[in-house]
Amino acid sequence: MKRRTFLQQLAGGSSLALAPTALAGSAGSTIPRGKAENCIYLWFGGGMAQIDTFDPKRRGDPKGRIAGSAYDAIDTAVSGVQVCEHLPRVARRLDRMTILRTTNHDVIDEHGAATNRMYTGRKVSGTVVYPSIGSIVNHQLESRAGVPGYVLVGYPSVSRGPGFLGSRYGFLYLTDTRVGPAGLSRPTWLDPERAQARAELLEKVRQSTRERLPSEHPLLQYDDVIGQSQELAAGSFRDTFELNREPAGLRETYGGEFGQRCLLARRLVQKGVRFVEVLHNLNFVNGTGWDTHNQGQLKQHLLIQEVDVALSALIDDLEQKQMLDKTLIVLASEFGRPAEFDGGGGRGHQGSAFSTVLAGGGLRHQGAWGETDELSKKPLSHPVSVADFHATIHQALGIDPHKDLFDGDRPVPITDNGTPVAELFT
Amino acid sequence: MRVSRSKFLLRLLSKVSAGILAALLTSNSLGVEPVASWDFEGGTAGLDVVGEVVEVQGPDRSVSRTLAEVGRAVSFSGDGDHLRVADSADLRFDHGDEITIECWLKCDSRGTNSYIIGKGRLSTDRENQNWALRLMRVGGSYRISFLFRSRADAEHGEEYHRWNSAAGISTGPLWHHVAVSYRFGEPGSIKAFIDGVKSDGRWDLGGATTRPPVVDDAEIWIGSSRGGDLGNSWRGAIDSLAIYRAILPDDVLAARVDFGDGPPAVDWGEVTGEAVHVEVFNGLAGHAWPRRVARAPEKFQVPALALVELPPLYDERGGRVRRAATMLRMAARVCLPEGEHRLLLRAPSLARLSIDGTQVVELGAYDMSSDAHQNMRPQVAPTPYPRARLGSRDVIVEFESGGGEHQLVLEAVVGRDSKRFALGEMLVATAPAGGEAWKLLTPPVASAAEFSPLGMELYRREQSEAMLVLADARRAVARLGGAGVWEERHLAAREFIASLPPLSVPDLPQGFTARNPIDHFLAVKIHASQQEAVAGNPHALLARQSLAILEEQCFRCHGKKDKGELRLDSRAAALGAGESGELAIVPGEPDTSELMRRISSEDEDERMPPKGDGLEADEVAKLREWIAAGAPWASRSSGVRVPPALDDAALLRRLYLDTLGIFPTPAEIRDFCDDRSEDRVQRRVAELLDDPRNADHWTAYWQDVLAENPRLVKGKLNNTGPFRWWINEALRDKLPFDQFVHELVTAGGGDYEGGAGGFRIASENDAPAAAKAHILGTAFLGTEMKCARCHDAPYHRSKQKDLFALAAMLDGRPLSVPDSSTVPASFFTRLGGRKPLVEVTLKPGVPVPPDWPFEEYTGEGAGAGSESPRERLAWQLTRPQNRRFAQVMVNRIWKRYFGQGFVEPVHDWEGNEPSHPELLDYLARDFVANGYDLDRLSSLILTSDAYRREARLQPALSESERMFEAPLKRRLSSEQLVDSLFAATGVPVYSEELTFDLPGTNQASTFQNLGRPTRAWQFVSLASDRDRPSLTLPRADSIVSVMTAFGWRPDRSEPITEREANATVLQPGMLANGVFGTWITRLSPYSDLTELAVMAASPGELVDQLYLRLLGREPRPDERALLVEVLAEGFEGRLMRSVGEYRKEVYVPEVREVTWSNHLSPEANVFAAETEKRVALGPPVSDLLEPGWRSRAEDAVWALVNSPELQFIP
Repeated sequence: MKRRTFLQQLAGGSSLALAPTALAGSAGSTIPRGKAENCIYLWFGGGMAQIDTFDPKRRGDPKGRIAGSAYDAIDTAVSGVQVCEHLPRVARRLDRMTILRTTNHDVIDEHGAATNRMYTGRKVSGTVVYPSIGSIVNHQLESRAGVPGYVLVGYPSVSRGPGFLGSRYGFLYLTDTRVGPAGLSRPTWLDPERAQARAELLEKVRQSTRERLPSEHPLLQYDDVIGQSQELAAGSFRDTFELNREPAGLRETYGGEFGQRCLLARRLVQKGVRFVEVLHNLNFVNGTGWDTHNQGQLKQHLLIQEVDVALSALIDDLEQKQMLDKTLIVLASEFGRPAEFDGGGGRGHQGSAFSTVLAGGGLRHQGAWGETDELSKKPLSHPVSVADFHATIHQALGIDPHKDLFDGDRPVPITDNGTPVAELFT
Repeated sequence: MRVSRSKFLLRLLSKVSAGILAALLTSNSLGVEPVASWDFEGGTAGLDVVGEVVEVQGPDRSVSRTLAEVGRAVSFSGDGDHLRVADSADLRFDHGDEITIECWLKCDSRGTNSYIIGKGRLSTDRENQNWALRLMRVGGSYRISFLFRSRADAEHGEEYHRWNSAAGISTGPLWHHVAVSYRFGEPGSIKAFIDGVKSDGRWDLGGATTRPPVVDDAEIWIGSSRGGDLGNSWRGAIDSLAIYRAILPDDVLAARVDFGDGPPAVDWGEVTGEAVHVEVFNGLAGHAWPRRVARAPEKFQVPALALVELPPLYDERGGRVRRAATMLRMAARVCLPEGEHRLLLRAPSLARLSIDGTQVVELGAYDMSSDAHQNMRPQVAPTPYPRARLGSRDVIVEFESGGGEHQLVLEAVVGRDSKRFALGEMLVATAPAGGEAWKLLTPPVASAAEFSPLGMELYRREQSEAMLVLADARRAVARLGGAGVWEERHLAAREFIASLPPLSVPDLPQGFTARNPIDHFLAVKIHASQQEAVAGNPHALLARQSLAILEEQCFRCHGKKDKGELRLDSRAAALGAGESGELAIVPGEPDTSELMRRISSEDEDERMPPKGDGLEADEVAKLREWIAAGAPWASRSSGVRVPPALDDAALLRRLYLDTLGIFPTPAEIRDFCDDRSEDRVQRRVAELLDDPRNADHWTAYWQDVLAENPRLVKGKLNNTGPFRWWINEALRDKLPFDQFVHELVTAGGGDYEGGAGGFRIASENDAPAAAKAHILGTAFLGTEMKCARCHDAPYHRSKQKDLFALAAMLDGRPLSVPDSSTVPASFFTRLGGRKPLVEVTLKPGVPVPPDWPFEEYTGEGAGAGSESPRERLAWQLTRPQNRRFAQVMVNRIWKRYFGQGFVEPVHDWEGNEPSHPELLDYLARDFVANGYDLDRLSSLILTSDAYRREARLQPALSESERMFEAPLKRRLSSEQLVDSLFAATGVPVYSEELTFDLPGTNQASTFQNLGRPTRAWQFVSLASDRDRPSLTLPRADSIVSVMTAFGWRPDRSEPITEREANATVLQPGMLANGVFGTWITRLSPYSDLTELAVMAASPGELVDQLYLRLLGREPRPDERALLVEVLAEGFEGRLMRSVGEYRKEVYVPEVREVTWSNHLSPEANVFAAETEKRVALGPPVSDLLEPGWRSRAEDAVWALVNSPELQFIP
């Protein structure tokens, strides 16, 4: 009996009925592995309205409650593909991007649940706590010396956690680009001289402890980790967070705080971090962030413009540093929003079709992939499930989407039988 | 029981039940009499009882003036218990017939459609409801629900028709009268009365119909239906149930109830001049001034007219339950000097203040919206008194006093059925006209409390402590009720143990010391290992190392379980062939040994062990070397050295951490070290186990093991209620552990209020009971059934059916595997003819009846037949014949103190042998024979000689190597670390109150408030999954992030016993750099270390004190010199002012302005972001100390806090 094959199939079992062609291992194997080495994952929490951004349709009217896009569409560098008028810079760079317009899932009513689906790529299970995509990448790609594998610029949450992979594959996080990651940044009130004095004092205390202990003493292992931690907080990794080391002109092209986070992401990737996640939901320029119910819609264009500036700057910057082919940029949110307007002039939630975006990463970009119906409600062609979306990201990073991870004894394939979008790889 | 009219009247007359009589006479005068009625004056005597229906006190004149002085009623448990009534022609209702059903009831229900009474539909496969009166739960309200099934005709099939009232009753101590009337065939004829008030309603399901009902010879059940389904079973009391073949007139039904004039007047005889008298009337019908209240309010006293916390409300078994709408009344005799006063009334909603019988001010109803799009309240100029907590409001009035004593009554209505109960602030403060010296109003003798931020904080703390005492006392009373039952059970358990073949304590081998039998058992194994002739075997070391690898990696399947017909746990077996026919080990020939081929294979289908990436290269090399050497066999544990005893200070630190979870204080260390008496350890252990903080220490453990997993915002996967409060209180109350498990499994209490009922919730889970059965298996039976959720496990014996049978016991009804968690059949067809490793033996949708699947642990036999499935489950888990349970518990406790169990892993015993089977049995017998007393078990272990020795440095790799010559060197848990540092520095637990919904605008099921934490176990995941700055609690987060780094799980969706033990860079990082570290190490006005620094006579004394507090020992000379050097400079001039000006300050938290209902406003996000920045700076520094010296002293503290030694238990 081929035990391995069996268990592989078993773990993916629950979705076999839905995807009859995708026997484990068979679909992905014919697609060439991607060569990207890092990933910058931009998260638009709240639910970005695809119809107002990357999948424009006929104009509607929020006031008159006529379904449709809130803005006009413009042409892009890819013929036949349009985006909304507030994304002019992105439009000019769309040849380096692919909008997956038919991303879809069946969770709509709750942000937390849909977020969990997008991060883990799976339905919740009563028996397995699944790792986030960042933790899987951190687990699969060897981390580079002296830097963590997964950094989150934003708030921690369980959905972003390592699940059964264990805490060493979790994230370091920071909520303020000026401060640096929680736990590995000196407190803001501590001046460098005093920090130095403290560190020296601690080193002396540690040394007197070390000298007294036998070599197998577990305390020495912890002591060693203290040393590594001190090094991270004081050494060259710390410098990565000093954005003022970048030319002022470049900093300006990235724009506001979200742009600065993107710039930091580039610096982190440059330093060797494999997976950097940046949340775009920080200062609520429109009151509600991307969760554009009611009046949240009124100033949504400001959010979109912010993205236009930051994303195009990031692409240019990576390109200029010859890092774009090695760095996959992903833009995702927990769901999209319907063409119809609610009573307050905003939009509800829609999981049946929404846009995610891939850029760079050495992919054969298509501008847009998949087509939705006239009001962006349902996929008409090339539907991309969340598992497919994950499989595409893994494939781009050279990770086999069908490989098994182990939750104790239980094999769990990296994706839930996802199939990469093959056309991006050939 | 049906009785004829004359008999019924006779019975009525023979009992004192004048109220019912009066009611009946009214109807009789109209010529209407019941065709069946039950007054329960004789309890259940003469009735056909199924299950447990008990007699209770009925409603009386204190409820309604229409009732008798005393009376009896019956109460149902909600577990499917019911009364059976035979069919009769009188009780069959057909087209055109009129029916009225009425009764008094007290609702304690949880079911969604609880049957009061119904004819037909008695099993899940019968759809023959002639009529039924039920209560349907909608939110927290229970609506009158009338149900019948229509007959099929040419145009229609059979259908259910249900009418629900718009008004409802709530759970709680109040009796309610309900009635419903209907004429079959006339849908408009339906009407319902609740407490004498007519309610609207509407038809649903099949809708209003003129069609006739199904009529047959089905029985009538009272209290349940559909085979005892929990969702259809009534929990609560019923009295004076009657059925009429008529529609009773409105005025008759209205006259059934006469509540009188509302709540009773204040009894001023109860109000002393020394304290404020508080009465809490629970279970109001709604958020309004009540027409009536329950007869017996909760009563207690507080020092001022200010209430900021209530004790938990407990049910009759001591479980926390929900407070719904409640009337609070505070009465006091207060002296107000002659002249003008200003009075400030602060309350959450409806409130009124009267003085000497005259109302002087009131507040109207206030219902903050639950919608999240509200604005923040205006930021106003500071007031001389503290700003109201969000959700409470102020009103100020002038009052002129003629001087002398006044009678003040402050009343308020708090709580709504649809929302979480939030007391907010309820108080009266006063200031003289024109002055700003605000004080809380107090009776004359008590000292007046300042109505200032500090004054309120002190008052709040005092009240909090008082409520804790009150709560302890109330539970003690509640638990007295069942005490006798447990005494009997424990007597029987002792007899059972006495009936077993004796187990004797072995003699102590020469040269060993012992303090109790534990040491005898341990010494025997250590002695044997020392006797072994290691020297005689040149390959002893190699053999031991190799066998350790086999034991760790292979024995699980190739030990007793002989997977593939191969065993590797003895040399003879290992040299044989397995299923494949290949020889596993050929001595001297690694290349022909199948074992080498399989462990080195590149083919994932071939490689062993089958999971993960296989053995490490050095392990493979070691086994190769061993086989090449002839595969010598040797015991793996020869010549164990017995370590010396710990010194006193270190032993005390170990004891404190193992019992209270915190460091001992310098005074406690000194006391212990100075105590030379023989029994000092025994006495200290007894004191420590008796300390309520012992419950805090263990609460964290059971939170992990039982997967307690509440959330502040809307449930996600496997969220539970916060049954942490139940765990903690059960441990505080020293519940015998069998009773603990019994309550966990059977007890209710509020699901979201902290009762054991919260254990049974698993949000987003498609089979919550199965998830819970899995937890019970790992926690109490050492049986892992995780795989059995979806398929029979490849590595375990337990079948899917076992898990679901256990789950069905817990749920009290048959359960089936949901479609969403099985392996689809299509998967197996794909395998072709191959034999699968796992099997699905239970098809989704096939019901599994409640059944105990583990007779191997307990032997046959069960509890009495009348018990509910849940009761039977609790009994099976804990009865003395279940030897596994006691052994699993002993193993768990042992592991806590020694770092490893006799059996590892403690939650999954299958295929794993105990290292000390006799000792395990001995301790388990002792545990059972002594009433499942955890403290006794702990005390035995903690006073053993072995426990007192210097720690073993590395874990034993296998059961044969485990000697327990000493406890293992262990790291502090997150909770121990955080609690110890708070305790050792006296720094307040500076966290915010753990809630995102301060005023209680939402239900507890979606928004919890877990209060202001005082111990680490009280924290909870702060994730909102919304990435919004306004939904952050930065102070709490600074503590939670340290705890998370050190292994505490913000998400406990799965039960675990052992946390991740890896040291990560975030651990020292969080402690060194985070806000928590800043609070702990800063010489702030809130830290005890500031006092040390101010008072120290010399730098050396300060260093000694810091070492004692933080590391529990005196510094060595070099360590002392190091820190003295830092502190000596500027020591003399360190004080900026005189010592006499030192006082420790009380930390007063900010009044929070952001809550769920305003968190989406842009200002809220800005406000929150600013708060976060402020929090990052930490507390203020003490202005008593010169800044340069203070900084160096803080750095010295910081170096000790961050030293590796602090991370370990001695």
